Amino acid sequence: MATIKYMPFGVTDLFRKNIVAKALSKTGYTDMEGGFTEGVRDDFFKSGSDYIKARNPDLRSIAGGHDVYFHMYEILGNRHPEWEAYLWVHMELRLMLHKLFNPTKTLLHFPEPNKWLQDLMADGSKEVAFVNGLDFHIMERYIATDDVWKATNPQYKVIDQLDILEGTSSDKFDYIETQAPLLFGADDNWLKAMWATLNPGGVMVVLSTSGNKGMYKAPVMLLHEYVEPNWDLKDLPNAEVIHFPIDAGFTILQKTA
Amino acid sequence: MSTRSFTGSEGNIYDAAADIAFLEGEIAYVMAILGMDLNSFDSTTIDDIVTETRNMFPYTELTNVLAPMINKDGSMGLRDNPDLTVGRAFHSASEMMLNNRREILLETVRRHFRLLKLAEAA
Repeated sequence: MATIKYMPFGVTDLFRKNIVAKALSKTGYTDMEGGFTEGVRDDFFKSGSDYIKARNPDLRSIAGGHDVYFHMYEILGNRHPEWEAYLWVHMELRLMLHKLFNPTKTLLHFPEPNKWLQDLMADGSKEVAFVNGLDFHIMERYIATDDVWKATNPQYKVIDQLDILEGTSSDKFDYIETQAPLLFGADDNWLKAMWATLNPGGVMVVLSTSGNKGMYKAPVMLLHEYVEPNWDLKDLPNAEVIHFPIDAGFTILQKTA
Repeated sequence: MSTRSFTGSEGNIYDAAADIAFLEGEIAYVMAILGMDLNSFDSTTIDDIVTETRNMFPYTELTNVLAPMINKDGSMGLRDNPDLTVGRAFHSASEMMLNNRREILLETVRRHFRLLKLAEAA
């Protein structure tokens, strides 16, 4: 009997539309392999997954083993074509936002070593910084072992979280990309601290602000655990805030003063 | 604590100690909210924190039996629904708020605890 490679994957309109979008688009990254250089994406996410698994993480339910964020490196690697198209659409949206705002100084919270980031880090006129943490560590370990990356002579910075939280860093940015699982906390201090590192006129993009779409599906509208931190985003000083209910929620904030 | 630059020869500039310092602070903050003993931080497990969170914000068992129901003619009415087979049971707004508070605390502290263990093993 022939093996049906992608049998377990449920094809839905949600994914089909991304195939169409990809087929009808033309950018430097329309070919996902071009966007992430040949094989780099799968190698990277596998290296991240292997790194974490080697440390024997607690994946019991009580420890949060059901949390999608805990499995991000598995989810983003080894793509079905339709899942790849879905990821591509949202990657393009992120890259387009960055391109439109054309920032000089960028702070990234969840780095993926794709071709776009490679170009950005090799561009001496732009500054790229990362928030210290697991995801930065995994990226840094990966690019240090990759000859293609090393040949581009990447330049970047890393900022410790406490420097951001306590406001002791003098670094300010024109563009911040973060995601809700790394931004939302027990209170809004971390969120406010990240906002404080943004220059006036700067933009902060927060991904996955809907709690994996749970906020859109809650039986009582606006009663979900992610609503309160989203109000906190809306309450940030000097902020224009747009929550786009696409993918798992894109919230785009611009600092007005 | 500092900002570090990589220009080609610095090796890894990830700082596990700084990562740990931040994550411990975030976890301790939640433990303080829950009234847990911070002196026992090093021996505290994620199980302990989750249990305390659930103690402070217990799963509510109250379910409103007066569920809203849409009639055939489109009008909405309330129907006594003890067996929960018709209409939809729902929590009161205050219960929902407590449930949400528990969920965001759990989600946050589980992630931070996991990241702490990975930073310690870096």
